[in-house]
Amino acid sequence: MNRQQKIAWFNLAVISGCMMLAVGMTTKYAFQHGFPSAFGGMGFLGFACLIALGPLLFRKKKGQVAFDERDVMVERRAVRCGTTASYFYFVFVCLATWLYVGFDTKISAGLLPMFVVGGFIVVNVVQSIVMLVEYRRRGTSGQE
Amino acid sequence: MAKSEISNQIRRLRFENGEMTQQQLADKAGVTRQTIIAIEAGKYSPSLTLAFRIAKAFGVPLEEVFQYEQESS
Repeated sequence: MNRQQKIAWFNLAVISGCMMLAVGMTTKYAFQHGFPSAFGGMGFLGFACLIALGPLLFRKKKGQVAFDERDVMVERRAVRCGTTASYFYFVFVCLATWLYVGFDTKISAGLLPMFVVGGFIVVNVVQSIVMLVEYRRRGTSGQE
Repeated sequence: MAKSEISNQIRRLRFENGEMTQQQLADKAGVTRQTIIAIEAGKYSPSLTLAFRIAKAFGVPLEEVFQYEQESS
């Protein structure tokens, strides 16, 4: 497994963990305090920022090639797919909110950071999955 | 319809050059070992620059490392 694959798996693990934690805590708060206070549990999604540690944790030794032309190609494809997914996500979220609450209703400003965090999660999950699929397609295992 | 395919002799050339490891070839060509593995397996076609660097690492012409085969159906 190369560095990019390790970072992708790390991202998926962190995001999955944060989502489970957020849903779990929201459920716990729902039983304790009811809605809408329970939505405070979604704040645990903020731990998803730990994916920034990925490049630091999986550093390569000095002198080793960390990123070559094949990695560039895989990353470009992953970023393109992530950007496309984020576009569909934001269009869906905005239209769904509009249709759900109606045309003449106001929504809470607290929903906006949730939309942004959701987009962040969608982008990173899609990028990580595409990266892992592309590396598998383009061959990473082999013996000397 | 004609099907084109690029094959390579990297594995053979590595063994003929003092049993060079994939890591050693990767270091000479300036890429990761995984890229050399993928090229040997035919799952990745290198850029022209990288192809020339690999040929230079073996000290042979490009055509000895990579071959272009066109099959017509």
